[in-house]
Amino acid sequence: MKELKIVQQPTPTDARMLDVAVGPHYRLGSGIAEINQRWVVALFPAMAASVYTFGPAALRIFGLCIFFAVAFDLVAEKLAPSRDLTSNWSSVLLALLLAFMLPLNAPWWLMLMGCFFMVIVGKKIFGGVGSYPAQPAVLSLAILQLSWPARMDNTAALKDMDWQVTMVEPLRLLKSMGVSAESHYEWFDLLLGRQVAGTADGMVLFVLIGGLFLLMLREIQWQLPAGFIIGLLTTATLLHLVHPETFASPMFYLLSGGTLFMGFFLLTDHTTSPVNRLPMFLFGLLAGVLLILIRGYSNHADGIAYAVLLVNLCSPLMDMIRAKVKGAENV
Amino acid sequence: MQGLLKLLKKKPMLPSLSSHDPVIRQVEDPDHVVIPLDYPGLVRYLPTVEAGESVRRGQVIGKSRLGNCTFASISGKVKEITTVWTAQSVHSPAIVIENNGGQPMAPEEIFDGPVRSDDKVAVVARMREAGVNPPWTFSGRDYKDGEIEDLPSVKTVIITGVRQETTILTSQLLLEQHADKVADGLKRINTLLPEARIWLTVPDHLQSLAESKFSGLAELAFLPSKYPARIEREVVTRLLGRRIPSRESYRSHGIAVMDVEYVLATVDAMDGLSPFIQKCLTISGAGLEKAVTVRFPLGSSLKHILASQGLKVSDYTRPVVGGPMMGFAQYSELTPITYNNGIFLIAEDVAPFDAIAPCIFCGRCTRVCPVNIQVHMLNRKIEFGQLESAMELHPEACHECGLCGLVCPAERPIVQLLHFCNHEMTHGERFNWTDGGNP
Repeated sequence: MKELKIVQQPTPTDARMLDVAVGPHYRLGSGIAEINQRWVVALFPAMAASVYTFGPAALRIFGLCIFFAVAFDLVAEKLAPSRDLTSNWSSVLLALLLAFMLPLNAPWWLMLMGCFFMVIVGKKIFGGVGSYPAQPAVLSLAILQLSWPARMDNTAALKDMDWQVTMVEPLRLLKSMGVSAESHYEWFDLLLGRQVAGTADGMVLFVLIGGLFLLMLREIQWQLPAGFIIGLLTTATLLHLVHPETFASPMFYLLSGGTLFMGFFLLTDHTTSPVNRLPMFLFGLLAGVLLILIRGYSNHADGIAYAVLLVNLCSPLMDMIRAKVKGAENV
Repeated sequence: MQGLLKLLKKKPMLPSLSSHDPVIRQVEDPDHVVIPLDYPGLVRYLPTVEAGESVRRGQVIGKSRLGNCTFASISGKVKEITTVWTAQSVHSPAIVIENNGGQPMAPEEIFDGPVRSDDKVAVVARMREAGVNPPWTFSGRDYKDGEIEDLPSVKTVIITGVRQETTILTSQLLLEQHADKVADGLKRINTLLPEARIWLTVPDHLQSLAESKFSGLAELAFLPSKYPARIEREVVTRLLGRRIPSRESYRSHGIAVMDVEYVLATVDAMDGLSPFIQKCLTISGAGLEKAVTVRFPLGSSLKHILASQGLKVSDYTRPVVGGPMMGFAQYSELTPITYNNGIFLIAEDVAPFDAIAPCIFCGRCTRVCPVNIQVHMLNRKIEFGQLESAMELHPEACHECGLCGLVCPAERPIVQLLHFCNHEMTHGERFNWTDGGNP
């Protein structure tokens, strides 16, 4: 062959044209911030219901939690720069999730500690968003419940409300006085959030609306909440049939406390839940079973935090159940 | 408020191709053409002309060792033999021809008459003489690592009447407008390869036309207009009932995949009418009301093809050769366009990817992957250099359809990472994968 002369390609006419790229030239996504904003929007109905019911006290919880979480996030970003930027809204979302589960009378230092455990211990130490092994808000809640059990008392927080309902947490009453506790509550009250629970996680109907919004946008997959509800109802029904004196009816478990909040917002956290469809279903199923077992056989009245943390640890194992790669060579 | 509304909406899957112009417009001869000579893995031509020589349109200017030819697509003077970056970012030797408005060669000067379709040897020789994409269609031998190897005989021919990218309309327009000629070509392929099974993929909306014209000549496969259902490797897998590994060519498995355009070119070549020196291409994207299909001389620059339709490269942030999913963005408007099927223009400020976005393990990439790769795990492992453990997740099965990058909410460079991994595995220093061998 003739000797070929290597010449320079003509200089690009425009600096923008240096942007050489392969792969899709169109993207459906537009950053993690948008995902987190959507989740925050999904929390709006329950937040609104909470503010409507409790007034400024609820706003104080939401506001302080967001303030502390973002502040910790900024400090962490300053001291240890990572790719988890504050601008991706993940700390706002986590702060709201934590605020939902805090009692209405939580003092400011409790929220400060909660946000510290959530942002620094739960998230940043593990490498930021996308890397934590357990849902940080739930981790923080578990730490708070163990460290300051007296301060994490929802019943005491709501003692001044003049509702025409039993002013004790449904599950706590169930624990102390057995199945007869069920007759003290109307399912209608439970559904509308007229029950003793955290700041907003007891707003069952409004949490459900937010969850359906996420499902509609395909932010979360239906397999996970469906698995959770099926697992919970099945286990509760079986145990109710076997031990009718200790286990309440399945609907009572579903509607009391933050059960649906857990199914739609805590379990479905992208980072800590499996990604394949069957494992997602199994993950939800296991969470439902564990939740009923914890509620029935442990000393905890509402075992949300522990159920979520336990299944989060199973998530990588569950993702081993996956379809075979098509066209894989044996190398 | 508007930001809030934006959150409530889902982005459309792809900017829809609202309408298209069915007329195939002819692009005039440019001032100069650049004919690349190297198509890695497919064919490499050696120049048969020298700088300063005068050539005429249709004259052979390069030949491969198997006798495949490439042609001057305009009449003119060979300015120089140099190297260029092709649209696929391959650095290739190339011949530059300057237009001098000379007479084209008559068909009689190029070919000696038609060939009969039952004479297999003559047909293969003629396809090579006419430059009809030969080594990856019917020829029986190929070069691999400098050695001639015999390829298995063709058992299946798949003719693609639909390109995989939804913005590329060349095949379906040609199928619609030259249905009789395509039927003629199918008849000849049937005579040429009597034992072969012949498939023709047809877009959904041409079902009645295809059933009236091509039934009996080929088995028809109707494809919907959604991209994931059109990915070529997936369609071929579905038609064959088995999967060809992504790193192996179809031809080494006795399968010939050819476009409708090449069927038409084969008919012309067998009749001794013209060599393959003009190609069709669809221009679509921002600023165009209708997608336009043009026929241009091979080796025209991107600038020339766009200018012929009154478009300027400088109006766009990114001209992409190919489609939006698997195309290559170009950094120079002088890139020669050869065997490419489309140009997709992007005007707004699109970021290709966010280099520092962390993966949040949402798993959309994994759920959308047509070959079930655990993309969410794999792309992180590659990102942090754990190629050893990445191998266990079978990155080699990826055929870079781009769906994972499309759905990624964090805009991560997923396809680029997978491509990097596969490249490292085949050509890198750390690993050396051979075909079916051990690392």
